[in-house]
Amino acid sequence: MEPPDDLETLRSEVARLRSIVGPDEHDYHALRSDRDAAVAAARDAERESGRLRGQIAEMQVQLVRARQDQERYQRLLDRYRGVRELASSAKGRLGRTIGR
Amino acid sequence: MTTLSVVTAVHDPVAEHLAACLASVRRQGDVQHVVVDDASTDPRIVALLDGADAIELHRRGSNGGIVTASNDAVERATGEWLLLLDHDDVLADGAVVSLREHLAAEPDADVVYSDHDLIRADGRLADPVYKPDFSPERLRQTNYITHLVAVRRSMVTALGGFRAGTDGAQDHDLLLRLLEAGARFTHVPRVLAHWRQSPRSVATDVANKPQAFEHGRRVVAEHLARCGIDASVEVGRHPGTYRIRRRADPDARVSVIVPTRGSTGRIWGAERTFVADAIRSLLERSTHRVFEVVIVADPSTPSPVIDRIRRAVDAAGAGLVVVGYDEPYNFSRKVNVGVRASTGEALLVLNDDTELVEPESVTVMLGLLASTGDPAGEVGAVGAKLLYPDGTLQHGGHVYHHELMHAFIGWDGDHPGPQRMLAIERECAGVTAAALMTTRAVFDAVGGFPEDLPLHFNDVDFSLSVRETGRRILWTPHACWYHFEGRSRDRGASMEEWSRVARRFPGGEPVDPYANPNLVPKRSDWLELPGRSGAPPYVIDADGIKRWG
Repeated sequence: MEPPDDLETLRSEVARLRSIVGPDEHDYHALRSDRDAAVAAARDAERESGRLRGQIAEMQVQLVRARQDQERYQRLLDRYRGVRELASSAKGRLGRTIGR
Repeated sequence: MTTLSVVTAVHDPVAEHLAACLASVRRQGDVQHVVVDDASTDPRIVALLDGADAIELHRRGSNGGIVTASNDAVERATGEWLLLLDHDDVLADGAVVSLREHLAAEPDADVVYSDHDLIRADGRLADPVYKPDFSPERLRQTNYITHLVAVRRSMVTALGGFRAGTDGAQDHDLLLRLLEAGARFTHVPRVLAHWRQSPRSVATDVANKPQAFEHGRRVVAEHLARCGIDASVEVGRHPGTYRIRRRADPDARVSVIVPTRGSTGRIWGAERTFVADAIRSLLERSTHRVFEVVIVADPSTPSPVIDRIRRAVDAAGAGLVVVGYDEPYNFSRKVNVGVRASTGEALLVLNDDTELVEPESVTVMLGLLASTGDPAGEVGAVGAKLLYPDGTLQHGGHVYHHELMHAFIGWDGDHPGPQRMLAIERECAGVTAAALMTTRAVFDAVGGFPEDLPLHFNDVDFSLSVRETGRRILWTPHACWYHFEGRSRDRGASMEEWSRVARRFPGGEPVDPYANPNLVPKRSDWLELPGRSGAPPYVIDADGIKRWG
């Protein structure tokens, strides 16, 4: 049984359009694949740099933690030294007073 | 004065550790210390207990396990409150005084928990764990409460004490049953207990008690079943966590509200039309399939963009509503207009500059929202994990700790976070509206988004309004989008916007019940106040070797 005329018409039209596009149709698909691959590669590269940035963000917290603890303990140490000097000075004055 | 009974089950701990435990209770003063020796075989332990002052010692004839021994201790306790203490842990000096002060201020409390730190192998205190106020969803995902816990004795006995067959997870099981019974949990934000890192403890190495995690999984599953929550439970990726997969109604109609002006930009080296790609990624990848897409489009939105969206919507068999918006830009108003034009019971407010990462995102969020009758309380809104294009974290839940912030912004997107808080579903002070799901009932109850906050902080205000209704806001890492933040509009908050939202807080200063006063204000990375980090310069491993860093 012969296919209907409209189907044959459509097939002719597709053949005509393909003859116009020709190898460009293959090029378009290839370009699109290349583009998708490039986007995926860019995403992966950005993800890798993101991992490093994330590590830096975490390390920055560790650094701030270390610095603020150091600052606090340095102040405590300075206060301790100040008390020691005061005590030493007082001891000296007392010694001189008694010595008189 | 409130009477307390410390209950301790003992079975062959390191003798020095037990001695430290007993001494720490003696130093507290007027408390009953009930010690049940669960048939210890070590003669040093037997001798230590025989010679111990100020304990009520009961010896079991045979080893019954932690649950049986603990129940024996509970039976012999006479105090109004029970304080659970493991045989190698240590109470902080003044712990009981702090507890009594707290109980005087919170007479309706039924459970009190505190912060804790660890006792390292060399005896040094380290790694304090500063906890949030009561977070039932977090408690289901991990026993974040651990030590120290005090419970009203009448509630424990009414529940029948610890349950047989839950050894290793018996505390978690008890806490979940207390939650079901309507117990009021309160939190003391101070370190009141030191948790021993002995070579045999779970604190040191999770491989020490693999059965404990399976018991924990079963305990959580049974709890959810009793609560009428249809879900499966798996042991989580991170030790001590559990992954709960709630079953959501696959036929629930989700209205996706997307304010847009059809802008474009370059992401990963390629041009994209943000709104079209956002909707395409959702419709193509989502495991949930019933959507109504509501675009609230500025007049500048090109018609080819709408056509692309229409094609994607038709291909997915979803519904599409396009609402024209011809007024000055106002995100809140656009959302409200979109919701009015929608018909779904579940509303997903979604920024146009997003791309779906996790296919189960919508299913996960729907499951969390279905909380009617949940003893933990109804959920009013759910937020998702958002990533920058480089995979770093853009949104891990809001933190309102003296500032309005995104938790752990800039950290690696896969990082579990301190206390594994980025690996579990948990309560938050708020979530961003870049990807926020709520119900129409909640949306209407709070009056929608605040139109006097056109650009910034509208999601903060919305979150505060939701919480004021007594509902919880949850953040989940299992729903995830990329968010190309700021690429589709200009940024920068005004002083007026800041003042408007700051007025919602007492004294104009943001507060967050899920942060902790021991954390540095205005930081979102859980940094402790100076001198409270307890972070040692080195760690000592199981072989007693110092490792730096």
